[in-house]
Amino acid sequence: MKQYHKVSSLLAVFAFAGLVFFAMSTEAQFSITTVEDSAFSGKERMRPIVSFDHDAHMAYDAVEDCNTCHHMWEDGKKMDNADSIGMECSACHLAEPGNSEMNLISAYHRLCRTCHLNEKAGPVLCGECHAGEK
Amino acid sequence: MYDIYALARGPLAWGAFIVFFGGIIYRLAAILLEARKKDHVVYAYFSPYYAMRSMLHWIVPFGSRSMRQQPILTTVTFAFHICLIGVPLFLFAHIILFKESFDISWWTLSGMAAQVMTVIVLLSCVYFFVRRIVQPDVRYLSSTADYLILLLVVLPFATGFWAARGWAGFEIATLLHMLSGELLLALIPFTKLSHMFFFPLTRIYAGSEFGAVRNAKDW
Ligand code: HEC
Ligand code: HEC
Ligand code: HEC
Ligand code: HEC
Repeated sequence: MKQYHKVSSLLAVFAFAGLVFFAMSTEAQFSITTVEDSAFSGKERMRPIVSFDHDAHMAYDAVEDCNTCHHMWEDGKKMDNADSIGMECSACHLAEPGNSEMNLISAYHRLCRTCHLNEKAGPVLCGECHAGEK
Repeated sequence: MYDIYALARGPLAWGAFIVFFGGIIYRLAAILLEARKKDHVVYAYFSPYYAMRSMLHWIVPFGSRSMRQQPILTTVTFAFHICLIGVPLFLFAHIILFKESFDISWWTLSGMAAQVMTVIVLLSCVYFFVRRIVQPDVRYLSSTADYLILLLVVLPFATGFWAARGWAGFEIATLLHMLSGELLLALIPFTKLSHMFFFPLTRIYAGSEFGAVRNAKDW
């Protein structure tokens, strides 16, 4: 009987821990609020971190689909029905032979700023995007 | 805001660079042609050796007598010019814009170095300004244009520092920075700032004249 209690309370603890873990992981997955490419981690950043409301962006008219940003290319053309969800931009934009960090930064800037400028909405100046904590 | 940014980043930037380089070529061509007409012996007496010798003495700190006579001014002037040219040419924020637009990039300064160098430019300008006011002979020789030129140089550096620090109002500072930088670039060929590219001509002329003709030093 004692044994049974022990097991069930242990199970309860595990179940609770699992629930908390699940809640935290979905939290982490579905509310991205900054862009923090792993290519820039591990050494001191030059600029403050960029805040980016992933969910809010999905609601903007200018954002058509996931692959507006998480794009996939073939023979120099962007593919309509494929995406690169789950991959960081650096996975491709740093990997090309001869590419440097400059290429990656440039890719981020061109994707983000070009849309803001076209839409006349959202940040376009260095200090507007790089406004978070260092 | 977006329109001003797009204008400053696009057409005005192109305009500034075209006027800058076009202006330099125009002014150099004009003066070389005029010299050929009015003072063609200059060409006959051109001496590469004496020209180089003169240039070397004036480009090395304390290489000339007048520089040694004014050690403070010389030190400030050299620090000023190195920072003045070095910061815009090697600032990360400038190079990344070239990368984005033309896919070219080169070596950049660290943010800290760029900020220290910008402060050196600004403090030097304060020094030049005070010197113009306080020193009687310099004051006598100063025209309104000289003060305006100083302001023209201060503006992009002051607003650039402000923008980089992200201080309140940095949005306006950034736009003013772009516009004032473009104005400065475009005016360089048509103001006293043209000494930037006339310097070698002056030295070639004086060096050849003093060295080859008068057998004297010009430093
Ligand atoms: C406006 C551009 C944009 C759009 C549109 C967009 N994303 Fe993202 N997404 C990003 C950025 C930027 C990141 C952060 C990358 C980083 O930090 O490395 C990201 C990260 C993610 C991540 C986390 C990836 C990881 O490795 O951590 C997932 C998952 C994701 N996005 C899914 C989606 C889905 C699904 C859609 C469509 C419903 C979508 N995204 C649309 C820009 C976008
Ligand atoms: C699966 C690989 C891959 C991923 C992941 C990826 N890209 Fe790309 N991207 C490419 C390829 C391939 C091209 C086209 C060739 C080129 O210009 O390098 C491209 C082109 C671009 C361009 C130029 C587009 C144009 O119209 O000229 C930008 C900007 C860009 N990517 C930004 C990003 C950003 C920001 C991310 C992350 C949200 C990202 N890319 C993720 C592969 C990728
Ligand atoms: C396809 C268009 C598009 C792309 C790509 C895009 N944005 Fe935006 N973004 C917008 C629009 C539209 C707004 C303005 C929303 C408003 O103010 O109504 C905006 C607003 C913002 C804002 C202001 C606050 C907010 O979240 O609403 C930030 C910060 C921002 N974007 C960051 C980014 C970053 C970083 C990237 C690149 C990873 C990016 N954006 C890519 C369209 C885009
Ligand atoms: C539209 C938003 C936006 C604007 C405007 C913008 N950036 Fe960025 N920048 C980004 C994003 C997103 C990244 C990738 C951040 C990450 O993954 O940490 C980035 C990365 C960087 C990085 C590499 C990370 C670091 O801090 O070392 C630097 C440096 C940088 N930007 C400098 C600038 C400068 C300078 C300007 C102005 C000329 C500028 N940015 C304008 C969004 C922007």
